[in-house]
Amino acid sequence: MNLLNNDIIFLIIIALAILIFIFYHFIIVKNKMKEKNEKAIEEFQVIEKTKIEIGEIKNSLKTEKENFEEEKKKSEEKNRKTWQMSEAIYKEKALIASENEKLLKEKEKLENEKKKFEEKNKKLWSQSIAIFKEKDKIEILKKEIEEKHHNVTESIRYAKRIQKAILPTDEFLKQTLPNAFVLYRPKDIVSGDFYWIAETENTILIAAADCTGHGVPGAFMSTLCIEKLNEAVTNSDDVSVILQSVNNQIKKVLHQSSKADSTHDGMDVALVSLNFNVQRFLLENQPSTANCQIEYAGANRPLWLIRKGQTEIEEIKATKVAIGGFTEDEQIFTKHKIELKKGDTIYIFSDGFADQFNSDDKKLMTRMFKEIVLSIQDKSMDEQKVYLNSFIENWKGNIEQTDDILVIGIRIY
Amino acid sequence: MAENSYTVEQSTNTPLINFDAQSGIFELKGKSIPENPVQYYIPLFNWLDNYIQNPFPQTILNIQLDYFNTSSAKCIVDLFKKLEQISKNGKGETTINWLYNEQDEDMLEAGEDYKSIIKIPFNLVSFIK
Repeated sequence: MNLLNNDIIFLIIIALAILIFIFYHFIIVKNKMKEKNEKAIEEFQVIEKTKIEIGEIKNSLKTEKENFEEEKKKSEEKNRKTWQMSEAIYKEKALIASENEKLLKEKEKLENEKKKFEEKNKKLWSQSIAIFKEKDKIEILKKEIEEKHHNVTESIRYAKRIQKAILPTDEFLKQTLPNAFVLYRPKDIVSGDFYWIAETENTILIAAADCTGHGVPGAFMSTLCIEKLNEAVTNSDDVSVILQSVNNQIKKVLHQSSKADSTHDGMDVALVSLNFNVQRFLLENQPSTANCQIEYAGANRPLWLIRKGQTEIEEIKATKVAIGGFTEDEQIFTKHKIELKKGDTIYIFSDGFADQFNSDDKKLMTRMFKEIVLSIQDKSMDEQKVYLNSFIENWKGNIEQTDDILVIGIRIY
Repeated sequence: MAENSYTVEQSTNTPLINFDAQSGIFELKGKSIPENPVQYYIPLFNWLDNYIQNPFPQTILNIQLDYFNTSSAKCIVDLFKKLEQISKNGKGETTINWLYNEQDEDMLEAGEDYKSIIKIPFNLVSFIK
């Protein structure tokens, strides 16, 4: 019995020692583990923390990257735009460059032209100086011509006074032929047309004459012809004899022969004589039913007669030769005797009225002249003159008068 | 031989003159109211004096005047007389055609007067204007 107990107790003590050892180890280990664990936890925690931090960093990096990407996009966009712009600018620049080039060339050209112009200008200037000098000369010449023209015109105006003095005065006309008119419109200052009135014991003689030419030569001729008429009427009051005499005298004075170099100047004329009885009708305004007689002879100028109330013109044709020139000395100018009644009207005239042109270059012509004269038979002689004058004035318009104009109208009272 | 033609342009106071020696066709047209007709027609007459020495076998003058002054009238006679010379000398035939506006009895009458004194064929031809 004791022995056993000791063993056991020993055993137990050993077991206990082992247990304590183990326990002890266990605690140490556990402690160590715990420590380790704590450390590990701590480390884990650090790691976790770091992990979080890294995540954060990652996130922030991500955002930054995104931002960066966005920036990049923006900048790319910007770049693109900028590039486009710069392309446009480049093109523009190229254009401007070529424009510039053109402008330069243009400038060069202009400069060349300018040079040329300057040269031309120089020439023109020298020319204009020459012209200016010429102009001065011309001015002087112009003044001279104007002065000469003035003198010539004045001289002709003076001649007109003489011509007017030779023509019958208005008073004499009114007194001898109270119921008549004379429309006298020279083409120039002096005239180749003239009218002539002479009283003899038994008759009044009236002539409407148209000398060759107008203006100064016409006036020379008219002066000569008037003088020859005046001379002739001292010998005879017969219209035919007077014309024959004037023909001879003019040929003599102008030394006209059949020679080729002699002048052919002379006159066309209508000459009328009114016998005493007619004169009395005219003068005294006495109504009369008695017939009266006129005599007419003409050289190329007719006589028109309109019987009272009639609508036609009776034309008494002239002898178809002129006074003077190549007309023979023996030439007879046929005499016509015409019976007239109160209210009948006669006309003698030069060709000037019918020959007047208008601005359309249309000639009035005898046909229209006749129509005009017929259309004014209800008018008095004074009114007829006014009418014919304004008619020819209107017809003529702004163009020059073609020739001298002379119309004489006489109405038997 | 005369110069081939004698030509003068028409003006306000002077007629168109176109005398062609090659065809013998002469034309005178317009107004004849120069201040000095005698002087004016001298060159034409000088030319004609040459022409009538050696004329075209047939000469035709077409003359169409609207108006001429009394001093031109004599020059027109001289012109006709020169053409008459051609026939007289037996160097050719000559015809004058006097053209006048049918309304213009003055120009008809003038033509009739010329016709009566000219001894070569002289036709009065009216036209409507």
